[in-house]
Amino acid sequence: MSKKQYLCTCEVSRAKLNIRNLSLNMAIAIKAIPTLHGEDAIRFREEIEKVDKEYDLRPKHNLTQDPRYAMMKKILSKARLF
Amino acid sequence: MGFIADKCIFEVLTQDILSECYPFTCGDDADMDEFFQKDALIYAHRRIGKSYCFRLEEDYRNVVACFTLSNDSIRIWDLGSSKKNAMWKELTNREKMLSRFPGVLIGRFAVAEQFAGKGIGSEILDFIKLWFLSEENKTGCRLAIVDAKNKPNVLKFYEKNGFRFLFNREIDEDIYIKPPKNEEERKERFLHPRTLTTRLMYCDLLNN
Repeated sequence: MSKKQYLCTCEVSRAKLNIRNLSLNMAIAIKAIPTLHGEDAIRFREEIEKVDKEYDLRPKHNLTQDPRYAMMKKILSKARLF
Repeated sequence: MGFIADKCIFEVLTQDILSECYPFTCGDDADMDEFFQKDALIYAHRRIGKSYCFRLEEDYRNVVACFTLSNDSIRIWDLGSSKKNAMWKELTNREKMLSRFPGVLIGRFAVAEQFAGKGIGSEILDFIKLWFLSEENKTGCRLAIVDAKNKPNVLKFYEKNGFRFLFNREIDEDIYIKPPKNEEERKERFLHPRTLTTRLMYCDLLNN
């Protein structure tokens, strides 16, 4: 078990080192998102649950009828992505 | 329909595009400009972030806006099982608690200086939200996440577009990002809070 943990730690350290090297001479790194706990976790979870409930109660609406959907499809139809 | 849908072409940001276009500048952020000029391609090469751009249809040399996307998530600390289940069951009537909510991270996002103030930023956020919410999306995606510049106009822009702060108070976010080494430092940080350069915000895509 200890050997396995050791290998994992090494891999994590190596990955961190690579990211640090990548960060040199580059723009400010994008901030990592921390894991929420305590009051912040509860508040976040409550907000997600509230949206879930409202979403379930809301009359089913077809996303394809949303004007923003038509806009998105138009953009993608003209796009040169690949 | 909208400026970006009617007047622009959406593309992956590549070296060819950077070579044939006028230098992209958002006006007040050299770091952002440098990112899209140079670092964005390295991010794409290493699969850390993929950058896209909108170019003017009538003159391809004009880049209207750029943004970078990555997979990310907001994670909730897994509380002790009995306590957690009792608490969430009471709140939600669900037996299990998810501890990770998948999302798309908008790592960098800028509109070119000459196109600012025309509502293009909001149009692009709508596009990203619908793109990831639609059935065509390959993976589950519940949230859009940004690390917004901590400036009143920027924060107001994201709030207007349905984003909320991940942490209500700036000091809480600061403590999360850089945990104090001891209680003394914690007290000092609360007494003299520093101003963060960015604030984490999220938008629940189901709430749109």
